[in-house]
Amino acid sequence: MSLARRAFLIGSVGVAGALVVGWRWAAGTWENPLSATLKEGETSLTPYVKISAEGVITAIVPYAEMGQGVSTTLAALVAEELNVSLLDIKVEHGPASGIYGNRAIAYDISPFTDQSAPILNGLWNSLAAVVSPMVGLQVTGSSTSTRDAFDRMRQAAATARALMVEAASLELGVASAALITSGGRVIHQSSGRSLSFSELAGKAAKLPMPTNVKLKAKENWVTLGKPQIRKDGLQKVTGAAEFGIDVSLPNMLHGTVKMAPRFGATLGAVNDEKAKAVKGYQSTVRLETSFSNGVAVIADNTWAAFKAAEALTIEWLAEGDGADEMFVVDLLDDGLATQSGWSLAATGNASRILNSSTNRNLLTMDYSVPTLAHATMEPMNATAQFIDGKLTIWAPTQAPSLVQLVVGRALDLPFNDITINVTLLGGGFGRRAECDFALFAAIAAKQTNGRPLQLTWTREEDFTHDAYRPAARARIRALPGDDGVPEALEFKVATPSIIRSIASRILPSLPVAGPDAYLAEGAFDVPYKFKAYRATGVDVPLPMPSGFWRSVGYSHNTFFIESALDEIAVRVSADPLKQRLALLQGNIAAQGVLVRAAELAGWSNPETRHGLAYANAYGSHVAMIVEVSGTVDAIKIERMIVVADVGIALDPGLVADQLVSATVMGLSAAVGEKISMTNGAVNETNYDSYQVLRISSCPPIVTEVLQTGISPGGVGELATPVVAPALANAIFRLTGNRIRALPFAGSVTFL
Amino acid sequence: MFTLTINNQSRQFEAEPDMPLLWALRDVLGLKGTKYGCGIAACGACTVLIDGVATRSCVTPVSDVAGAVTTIEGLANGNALHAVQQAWLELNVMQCGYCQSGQILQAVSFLTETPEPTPDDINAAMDGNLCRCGTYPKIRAGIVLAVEKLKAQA
Repeated sequence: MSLARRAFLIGSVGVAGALVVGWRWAAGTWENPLSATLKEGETSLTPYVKISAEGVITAIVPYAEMGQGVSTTLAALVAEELNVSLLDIKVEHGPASGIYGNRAIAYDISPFTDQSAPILNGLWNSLAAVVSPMVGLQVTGSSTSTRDAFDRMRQAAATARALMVEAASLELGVASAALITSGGRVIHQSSGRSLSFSELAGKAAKLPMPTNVKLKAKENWVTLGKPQIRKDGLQKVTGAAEFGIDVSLPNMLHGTVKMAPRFGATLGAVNDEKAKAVKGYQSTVRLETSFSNGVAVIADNTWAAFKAAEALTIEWLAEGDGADEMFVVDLLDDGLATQSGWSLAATGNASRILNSSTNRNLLTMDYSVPTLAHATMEPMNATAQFIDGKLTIWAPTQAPSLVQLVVGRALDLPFNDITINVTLLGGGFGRRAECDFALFAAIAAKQTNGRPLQLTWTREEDFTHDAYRPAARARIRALPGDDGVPEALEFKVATPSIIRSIASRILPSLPVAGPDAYLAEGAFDVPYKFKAYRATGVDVPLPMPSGFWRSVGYSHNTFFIESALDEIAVRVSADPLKQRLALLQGNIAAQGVLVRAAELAGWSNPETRHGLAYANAYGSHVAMIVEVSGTVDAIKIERMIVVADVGIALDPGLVADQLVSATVMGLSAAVGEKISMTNGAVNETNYDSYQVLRISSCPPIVTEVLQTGISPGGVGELATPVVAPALANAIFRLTGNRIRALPFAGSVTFL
Repeated sequence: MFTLTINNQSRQFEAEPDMPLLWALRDVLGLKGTKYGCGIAACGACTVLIDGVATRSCVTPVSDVAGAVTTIEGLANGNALHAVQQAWLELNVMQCGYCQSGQILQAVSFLTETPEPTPDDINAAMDGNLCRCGTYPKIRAGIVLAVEKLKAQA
């Protein structure tokens, strides 16, 4: 899609002389949401740039800063096109608005790579089609922020710059072509006369919108493409950073939640007689929602709320079916065996070849992964205030527009009466795309007579009421050919549809039907040139809620596929690297990451014990090689090598940081993470029982960032999926043990 | 009524004796830089210094606090950042940043005791501080850089 079609500007003069620029896309048209928020002397030339009377330039970064560095990289897009130093740019999140809707998530990209094939994305489309026109999908996720903003924010800043150049041209009586911009001024070089952005912004706002704004060529970039010091660094080393949990308002009450201990249970009678003995306890509010059921406990401080919550006597009804781990396993295996599922990719007739083969190398491989928690370091929380029928929410959310939708429907409020202030996020990883924490605060704040209320979940509530990365079980059948390239490969996975689970929470009345491509994400969309291939996803509803977890479907399917390819290579004594290269013939970027990773790892050295995995996700390519040593009882991960081709790295330093971050999270999950259930309740309630990787278990990680593309690919989730298969394949080389179930700590011991 | 020295200031406040120092700092005294992570001393996000020694404030009742408390807000000397903060900033150690108050104060306490740490020393000293963003390699590098900075200051 061309830039012009993706985002064109329409101008009109709005309040206080500020130019209001609507940004029209998809089904909706929105006005510049900043025009309602401008302070005296401030001008907003586009929804992404504000200029104050003192010349302070503010970039609006309408994505959640959850550690990925989006507030730095997207501010750099603005700095580049305005020709100012990144140091001179302030960053604000800006208001929730449909104008900031994430088109990359809504329409453009993986897992729905082929928009002409609606069968792949039926379920998501039906949800997006309802949600998007209402509120816009202002969502941070799916590694889309940079991709979504790359054109939009540069064009917004270039438009602002062009308007100020035009204003200076009129003011100075010289041709705009004779003017340059530098350091926040428009300069007429031949005369030396200049005007500051702050002097020009007001006049620029009254000019007609330029129709053909030219973006800076990549070779002229001075800020983009180079590592920057994070804009949020100083506040994060001095304790000044404000996360959701840190919001502090005059006269604020504190509280917590106590939700049903078992999935599906509803709330009966609540007795707070004993809670009244806790000094500072105020009241209890019933929370009966599509997310879960329980109570909010309100007090003068958080500690009192925690104690009062423990002192409550609560009757839970309809406690569900007492599911435990084996119940989940049986459901998935039954789905795998008895349901035909959704066929999401098919080349040739894999089933016929496999069913008729008598080749002794024929492989049948059963793989599985457990349920996982997000375990963000900042527990779920939100703050809400309800005054005169208008609601204000402060929340560390990845999805402010979904919060507006869900809270608006639950409290019967028009979206315009709900203001969302997005704080910093103490980790997101998909958990904060949920709306439960904001909804609970909003419901409870209706009962506090206008006093603001902050609800902070205990860590125990956080672990036991997540929207989990669902468990998944897969069966893969393959007929290895010579050189390890399979003659036929059949992949079938059983796991719950995440979109169906999410839809049941945010729009319970919406009938959703059709396949969910996330089921087989990482399998149906692999770029391998298989001769005969089928990828099938079976949607198996489970008792616990399912949600987005860093890399979503790739987080399990890449483990299954990349381990299976290794097994296939081993079966015919082929080199897994050569096998991948053969399957990726003609795919230069894919082969490039593999070859470079192999060079860095010394892949050809027979003395070292290596495992390899590859993935193509979020518009980027990644190869990982893990090197191990030791024995089955004492495995040492010597180092992990991760090479990614991200097309263009707008900040190579922050890209490398994300590769490391995603690698560590993948390693943590591969080695030790697992959520289990007993009688319908989650067993792992805190960091003592849920094993998140610690520093002493973190091996050296070598990263290299390649850039062979013309636009930035996603990086935040890219490296997570390749860790488990690369490690499993390495462990096989070392010990001869083929591990087909995560986490590995159940099968081997790590040093 | 409690009187504690916090960031070189004497602070008087009302709290229940069993209230953990964490919540007194956050909800009573308004010092939000110290974070709640787990409540059971399993993650290190709540780490503060008491007489210079890293302490988990989430399991330390206010009535048990005997020494001077330093939180992340009080670590810098005016505008002059502590060497550990400076190293963190220069290397972009932080990602989401939620655990970093605790990481930094744990590192400060550790380097006071162990000014020339080995890589194993660093792993052992920092193992109680979780980071879900996986900044561990940069935490190690940050400590190594802070060691150099502290030596240059000495």
